[in-house]
Amino acid sequence: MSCQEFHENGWLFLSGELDRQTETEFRDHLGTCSLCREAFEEASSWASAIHAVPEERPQRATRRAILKAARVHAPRVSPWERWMHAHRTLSMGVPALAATALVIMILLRPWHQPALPLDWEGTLIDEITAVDRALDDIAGELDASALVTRKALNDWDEGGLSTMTQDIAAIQQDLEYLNKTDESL
Amino acid sequence: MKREYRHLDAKWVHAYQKGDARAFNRLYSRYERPLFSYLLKMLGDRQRAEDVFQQTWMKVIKALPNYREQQRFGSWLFGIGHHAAIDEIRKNSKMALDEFASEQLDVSCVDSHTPEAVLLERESQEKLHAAIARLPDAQKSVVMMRLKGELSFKEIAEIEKCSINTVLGRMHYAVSNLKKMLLSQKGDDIHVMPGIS
Repeated sequence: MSCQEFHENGWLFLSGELDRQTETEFRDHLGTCSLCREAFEEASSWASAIHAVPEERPQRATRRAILKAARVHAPRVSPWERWMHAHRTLSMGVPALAATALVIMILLRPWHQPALPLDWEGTLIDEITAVDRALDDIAGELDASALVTRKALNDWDEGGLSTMTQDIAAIQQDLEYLNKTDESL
Repeated sequence: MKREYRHLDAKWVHAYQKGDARAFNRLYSRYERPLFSYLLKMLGDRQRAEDVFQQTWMKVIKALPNYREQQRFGSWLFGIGHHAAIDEIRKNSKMALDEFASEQLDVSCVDSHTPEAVLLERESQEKLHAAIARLPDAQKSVVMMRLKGELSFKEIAEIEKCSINTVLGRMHYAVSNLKKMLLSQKGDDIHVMPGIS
């Protein structure tokens, strides 16, 4: 903020009418520029001095006449409205209390009797039971399939290994025969 | 203006609208001195100030039942008082009205004396009091509404139907003129600077 802007904003700062950004810039300038600070303190002193000048009061007769007129011309409202305004905390509290009580009653339903299962409830239970059974059947089938698969693997292991062993033995015999032939040659 | 006062004003206005006459007494007590001081300074005559003060409150009493807080109560009240004072000035003296519009003042020769130094003198407050009364009406109006009525510059600009820069300029000139007046009459009777009536 320049010194010129500072001077333009001095009275607005004193009356609290600057926006936050400008006020921050104003304070920053106030902290750094001694000439502006001196001018600001002087303006501030004038404001305080004028504010401190005693105020005047009108005559009692004038005051009485005004207050009497205010009583005479006060808006006429019913005693009930006046009471409601005077006790507006209570008058606002009563509807709020009634609304709260209504919500609690709806939630708790004290008039509600335990009811017999409705048709749709029975149907739903039947369907759930059927699904459970179907799941059990599928699980049984899976177990049976697993047993068959495991047995097939075992069978393959036993037969496959013996065949391979026999093949290896035959190859060894062939090798021995070839070795002997080679030696005799 | 402190925020809590605004809240209280609105509360009392509402209570009065609901038939509680005592709420009006509170509003009145709060604004009695600032408004009367303002009118007394503007009109310079106690009897005229009393009349305009009473007229202002009578207008307020009539309008209060239908008042909606589009502007702060204090600002609204001072607006009514200000316009009543202008009407009174207009009625009584064309010259005074011309003076109200005058803003061209000599602000040279500003002394470096601080206001504290001046105000520490004997009867300094009375001198300041008298000096404010001698300011041109446009400047006096701004000074009194801001520092006595605690209206914001924005509210004053709305009441006076001018820009906020104009109001700030008047405030600046008012303080410069007060300083000159007080410094020029140190030890003497109040002497009004040339250009300031």
